[in-house]
Amino acid sequence: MEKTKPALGARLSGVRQYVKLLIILIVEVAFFSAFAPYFASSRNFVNILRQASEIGIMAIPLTLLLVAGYMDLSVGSIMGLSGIMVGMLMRAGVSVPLAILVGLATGVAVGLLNGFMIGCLNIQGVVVTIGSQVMIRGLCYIVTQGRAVSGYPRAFFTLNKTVAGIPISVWVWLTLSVLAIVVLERSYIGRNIKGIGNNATACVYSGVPVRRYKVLLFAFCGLVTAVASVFLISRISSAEATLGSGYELDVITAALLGGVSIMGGKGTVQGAMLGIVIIGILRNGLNMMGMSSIYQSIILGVLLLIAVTERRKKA
Amino acid sequence: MSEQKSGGKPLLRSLCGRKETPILLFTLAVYLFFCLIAPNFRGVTNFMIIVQQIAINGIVALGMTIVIMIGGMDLSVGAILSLCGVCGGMLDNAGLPIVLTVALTLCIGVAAGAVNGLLITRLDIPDIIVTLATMNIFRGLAVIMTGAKWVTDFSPGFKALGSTAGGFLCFPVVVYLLLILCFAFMLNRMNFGRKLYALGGNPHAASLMGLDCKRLRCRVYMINGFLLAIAGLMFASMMNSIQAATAATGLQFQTMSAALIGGANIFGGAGSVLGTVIGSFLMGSIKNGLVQIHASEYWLDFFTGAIILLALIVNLVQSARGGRKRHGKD
Amino acid sequence: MTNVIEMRGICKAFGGVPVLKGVDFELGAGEIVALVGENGAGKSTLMRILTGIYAKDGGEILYAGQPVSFRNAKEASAAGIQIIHQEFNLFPNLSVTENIFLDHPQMVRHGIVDGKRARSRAAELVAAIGGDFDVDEKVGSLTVQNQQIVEIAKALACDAKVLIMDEPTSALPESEVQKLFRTIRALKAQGVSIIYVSHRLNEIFEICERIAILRDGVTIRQARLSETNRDEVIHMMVGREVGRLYPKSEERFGQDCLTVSGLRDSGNVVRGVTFGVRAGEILGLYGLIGSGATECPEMIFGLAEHTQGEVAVKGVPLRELSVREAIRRGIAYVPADRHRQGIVRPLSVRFNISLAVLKRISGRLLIRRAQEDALVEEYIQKLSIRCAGDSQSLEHLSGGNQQKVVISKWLATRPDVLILNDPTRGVDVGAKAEIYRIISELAGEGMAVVITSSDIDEILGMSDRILVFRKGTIVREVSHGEADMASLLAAAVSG
Repeated sequence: MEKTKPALGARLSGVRQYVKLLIILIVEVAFFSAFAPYFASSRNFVNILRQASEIGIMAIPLTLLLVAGYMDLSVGSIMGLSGIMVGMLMRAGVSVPLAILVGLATGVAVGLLNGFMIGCLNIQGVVVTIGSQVMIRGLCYIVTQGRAVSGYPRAFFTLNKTVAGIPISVWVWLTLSVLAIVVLERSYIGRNIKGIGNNATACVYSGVPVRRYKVLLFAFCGLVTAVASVFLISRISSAEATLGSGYELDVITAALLGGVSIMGGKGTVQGAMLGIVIIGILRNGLNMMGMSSIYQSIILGVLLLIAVTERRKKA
Repeated sequence: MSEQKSGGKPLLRSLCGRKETPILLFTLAVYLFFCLIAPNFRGVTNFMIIVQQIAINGIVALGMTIVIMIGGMDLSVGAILSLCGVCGGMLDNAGLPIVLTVALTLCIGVAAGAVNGLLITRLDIPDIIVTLATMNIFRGLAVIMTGAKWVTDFSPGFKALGSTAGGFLCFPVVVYLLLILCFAFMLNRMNFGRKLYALGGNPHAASLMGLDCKRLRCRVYMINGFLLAIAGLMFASMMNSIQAATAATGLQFQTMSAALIGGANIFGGAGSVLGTVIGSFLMGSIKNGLVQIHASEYWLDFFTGAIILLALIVNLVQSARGGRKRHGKD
Repeated sequence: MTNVIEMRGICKAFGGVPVLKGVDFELGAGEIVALVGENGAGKSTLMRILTGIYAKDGGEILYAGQPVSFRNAKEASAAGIQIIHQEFNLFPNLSVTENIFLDHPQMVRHGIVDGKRARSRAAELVAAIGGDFDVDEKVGSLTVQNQQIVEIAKALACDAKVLIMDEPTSALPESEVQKLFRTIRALKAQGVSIIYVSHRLNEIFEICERIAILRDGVTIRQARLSETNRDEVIHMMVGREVGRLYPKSEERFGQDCLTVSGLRDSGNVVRGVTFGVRAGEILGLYGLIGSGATECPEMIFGLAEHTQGEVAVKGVPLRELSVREAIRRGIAYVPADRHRQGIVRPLSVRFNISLAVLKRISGRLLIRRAQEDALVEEYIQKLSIRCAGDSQSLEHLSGGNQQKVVISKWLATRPDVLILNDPTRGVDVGAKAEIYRIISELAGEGMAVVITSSDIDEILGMSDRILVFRKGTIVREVSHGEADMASLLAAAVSG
């Protein structure tokens, strides 16, 4: 009896945190249903999910990275480059699966570059990924020469189809999320990730291969971001040099909003998912109300600050 | 060049010992490379144009240098510059006398910097997160204020702020040179500058010896805001118009790479005015050179990122060598 | 001789636990006084009260005859009482001059630093205390001993009348100790009074004039060194005969379990160390800081680089010296710095205990809950870890229980060799005894145990055999029966 008490308490306080997010979500939905025309329709909800799924997919590895105490600001650029690669290859007549494969490989390659500099050379992650963000974005411009890449084969757009009324990308998002939740909460990999985020030195002293985790996490981040990118270009059916730019802000804000700690060690995938949905609805609703994207980024910025401040106060 | 040679051996030796020497040589090499392959790149006129082109970024890079020196980071510089630029422009359009316009804009810049500084120090949020958020907030404010329209039609007084008439003695270049001198004096001779080096080099010891670290940190961001206001005014004036959404995007990365390549260290405690000026000139030469050889300007972003990564590795090698030296002496 | 400082009946308690119970301390003008005592005797608390970092609960402090009560470190510093901590507080990226005169009121006029005056004054100060280096050099590129000189110069620049030096020789190579003593004598000649906090008795007898001995929060004795001797001081510090803390019922050792041969590193911290530990034996490694006694285990466990040498468990050599290989081959290592290296503090008891064996208790991917439950429960019981359940965060556990969690983590790997580095640092007396009992029991069960510690009592009380390190080599080997504190110290210092 005594043994389960604190566990229950801890679990409850965890739930309480989601309750707060759920309330925000409900208020949001109620507000937009009342004030935004066409918001409350099943078609729009599917649309919201579809849009959220791309950022949601990216948020999964980023959440793992944040929990392990790292940060990747280059995800937007990785998204751009791998999308552009896929688009250009398909336009050049390469078969769809091969093009996608090369796109994913591109993501992994950039992730490995980040991981190598951060894990093996021990350079501060934030700055490395700022550097690669700029460099990869530059590559996007160079490769596309500033022109949009479109005109994809029909087969590619099967990715846009829905299964049981829900888009494939959403299915992928949900599947990956469930996998990530299981890995983070129930597997030894998740334990090690949390350990590294809380005290990497103690993990080294306990025989956890910290460096390998670092490199692989960044590579995984590149891979999954490339997956998101493939869905993104199939939805908007074109890739241009600015593809995915600024997405890192959405993803990081969502994760922090969902309770992931910026200092590492704390956070859940389900929290980040809630954060993604909240932001997705916010953007969609504001769009419906005809509010320009610039207002949205102000609101995102403020949300980010509030999310971080809340956590810091508690700690 | 000839002056340096006439200085004789002691000067040469002190030149070899300086931290900035490798980057100076690298910059010269890049400059010579472009001179060789692009006829238009050569000559005093183009040199002058480069200097005029780097004045604005150079001023911002000075601010970035002290921010990085105290171990901070400012991603919002482009947004603050844009905000100050449109504010200045709109005040001018409203018919305010130029002196008042400038004064008010400077206040806005300092205030924006103070917002960053206060959020970082009072709420204890990492610099990078705060400025990531304020980057969007300030940019958004600027767009809203202008209603997403171009701000243009400036008064003659306002136009003079960024005028390139007068070659090396044009207003932006003169202000840049003055600021370089001020910063060099501040960092090398003033107590304040020493405290910044101390804060960046060992924050723990700095607070133990009773330095008010939060206040110092906040002041650095305010100075940064002040410089951004100056740069914003010049930007609007030089381009003869400014659009809030697109002005100076990516500025944070260009100035960061200038500072980093000039010897600033992301962990704080290092950096010099001379190094940053050379770094700014390098970035400017590459930009100008790429245009002169008709390469796509898109390569600039790529080079900026590559230079940041390169500078990080050089940082690493330098500190590793420093560490070995310490151990070796024991 | 007039006293610069007189502390009378100083009391201080933390959370109701008295640390100082009426301490008296006197320091004469231009005198060098040693302050000695075991770990936890209250030396550093006393010095923190003197320098204004802590407020005293009772007693009075007279400074130059006047009663004073400093509210913070700045006030004490302004009054001329300076302290040099064991960890230097210098700015590696600034020059010597800049470090000495950073934010110094005399050198700043209208916000501008008088560089020339500061430079020449810094050179004077450094030269006066025997420093022989360029004051324009960056402090980060100086050797440790020169950095110490910069610290001393910094104190002098603030007009130090009283200088407190906390373990000043702990970071110094032995060759440099004499230079430091020269500096200290130069300071004395300038009229500075010095409090020398240390437990290196031979140094104290060389440099100090008087000694103050603390034990358990009271002053045992203040005396001129000429009136006492080493054995008496040791006796007063310890206050008891050091005996075996946990006698084992049976002293029967098995085969060589861990053998180390010719271990050496590039920095000459460890130069050619060879020893073996038998199953069931507790081996103590003792030496002063920098002697190699603590570095050697880190090397065995793959945490510090080595250039030569071999480690074998039960006769089979390790493929490489890395943490993972060491764990795989049955070596466990309880590190010295518990908070940084030992525990993952915010996380639970369960998390910490199973951290090193996650792979073993997992399937392909998922952790087998039942297996983990059993494991965690086993060690909570076995080591009687007092916690409110296995999901309690280590944050709220006492130091002793945290350390038991660390030991559990390693026992869970079922090691043949257990290496412990300072296993009872920051652990209260009761838990200490428990940890000693656990270690004895483990050895009794046939584990080979290696202990290295800064606490000489611990080494003497626990070990079946002791190896004394000096300058990276083993200089003496003594068995339990013939070891005593004085002989160990003597061997560590000059054997």
